[in-house]
Amino acid sequence: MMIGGGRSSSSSSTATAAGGTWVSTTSVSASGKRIQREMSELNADPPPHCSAAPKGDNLFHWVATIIGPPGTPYQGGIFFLDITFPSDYPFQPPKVVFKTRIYHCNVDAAGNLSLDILKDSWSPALTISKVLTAIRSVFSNPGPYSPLTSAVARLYLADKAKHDEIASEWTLRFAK
Amino acid sequence: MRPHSVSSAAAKQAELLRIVGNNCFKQGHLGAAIDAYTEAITLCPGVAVYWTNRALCHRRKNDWLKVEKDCRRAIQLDNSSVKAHCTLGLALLQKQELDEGVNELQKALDLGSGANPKGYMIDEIWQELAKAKYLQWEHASSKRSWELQSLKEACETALKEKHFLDDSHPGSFSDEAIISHMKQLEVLSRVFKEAGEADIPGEVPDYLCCKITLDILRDPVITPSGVTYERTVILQHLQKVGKFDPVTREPLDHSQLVPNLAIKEAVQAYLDGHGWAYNTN
Repeated sequence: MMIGGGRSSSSSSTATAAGGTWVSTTSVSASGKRIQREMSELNADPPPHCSAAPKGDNLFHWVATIIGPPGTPYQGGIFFLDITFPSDYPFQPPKVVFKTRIYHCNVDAAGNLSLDILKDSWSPALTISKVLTAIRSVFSNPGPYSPLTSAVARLYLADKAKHDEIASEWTLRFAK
Repeated sequence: MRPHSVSSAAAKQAELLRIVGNNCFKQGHLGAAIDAYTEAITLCPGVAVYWTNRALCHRRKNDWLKVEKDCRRAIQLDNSSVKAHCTLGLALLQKQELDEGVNELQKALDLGSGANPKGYMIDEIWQELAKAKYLQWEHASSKRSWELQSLKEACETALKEKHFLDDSHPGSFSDEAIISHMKQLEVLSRVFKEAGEADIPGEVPDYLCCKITLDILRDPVITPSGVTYERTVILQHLQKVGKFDPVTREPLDHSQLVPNLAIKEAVQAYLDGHGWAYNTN
C-alpha cells in the first residue's frame, strides 16, 4: 500500500493508520462539522420568520426561506434562497442567491444580492442564522446608495410610493 | 580515542539506516523499513526515534504487541516523546486497556500542545483521546444508570411496603395517607431523574464553545477583546480572512493571543461530568 503523495514528508515518518484514523482531518470535514453544528442550532433556535436546511444529502448546499417583514412591500411573501458553502467555510462567506424574483435595489435579476457581510465584511463568527437575519433587515432598509439594480434604487429615492407599489405587485406575483 | 570513533561511526551509520527506513516506510515497504530500523537499533539502541519509527511500522501492520513493546522502550529512553506516548496509547486501546490508553494519549497531548500547539498531530491525538473517553463514559454511564434504576425500584418497593404497613393499623386509613404516599413517590422519581441528568447527552453550553467552530474548546485562547477561540482556528482566520477579531472586528495580531486557562479548566470539569460531550460527531 502506498502513502498518498500529498502527505507532508517530515524527516521522521508520519504514519497513516490502517484504519485511516490518522488521516489528517481536512478542512472539508472541519467545515462539514461546523455546518452540522449550525444545522442543529437552527433547528433548536430558528431566527424569526426564516428557515434553512440542506437541500438533500449534500451538507454544503442549502435552501432557505425568508418571509417578507410586515410594514414593507414584501409583507407576507415567501422568498426562497439558495445557499452554497465554500469548502473552506467559515473562512469564506457562503454564497447566497435569491431564487424568488424580488423588486429590490440590492438584488439583481439573477438573484445575486449585495450585502457587505457576504463579501468584504465577512467574519467566520457569522452564521447562516445571522446572515438570514441581516438579509431580512435589508428588506426593511434597502441600501439605494450601493445598489445592484440602479433603476430600482433611483425610483426608491425619487418616488418611494411608486417603488413600493411595484415591489408589492412583484411580491404578489412571484412570492405568494 | 578508538571506542569514540567507533561509536560515532556507528551513530552515523544508524542515522543513514533511519533515512533508508523512512524512505521505505513512505513507499509502503514496511518489511524493509522494519529491517532498516532494526539495524539502526542494533547499532545504537539508545536512540528513541529508531524505536518509535519501528513502532509506527508495526502499527501499519496491525502488530500491536510489537507496537507496545517498541513504544515502551522508546519512552524509557525519552519520556517526552509525543509520538511514543501517543502510539503506545493507541496500542493499549487496541487491547481494550481503556484507562491506561487514555493516560498515554493524555500525556502525548499535554506534551504536544504545551511545546508546540501546531505540532505533531495534536488534532488527531485529541480525536483518538476523545473517542476513548467517550467509550469510557459509555461503559461507566450504563453501569450508573443500571445502579440508579435498581436502587429506584428498591426504594419504590420499600415505600409501598411502608405505606401498606401504615395502612394496616386500624383507623389510620385515610386519603391523607394516600396523598402523602403519592407525593413521596413523585419526589423519589424526581430525585432519581436529577441524579441521572448529567449522563443524558445534550448541548454543550455556548460559553465553553469556540465562536468559530461552535464546538467545545480544546486549546482556548483569548483575544484583547475578551473573546475566546480555538487556537488553531483563530490562527487560520488571521491567516486566511484578516487581522481582526471575528466577533468584535477589532484589529488583532496572533502575538496578542493568550491561553485562556480558566476556560480550559472549565471545559475539563464539564467533560469530567458530562462524558458524552467527548462525542466528536
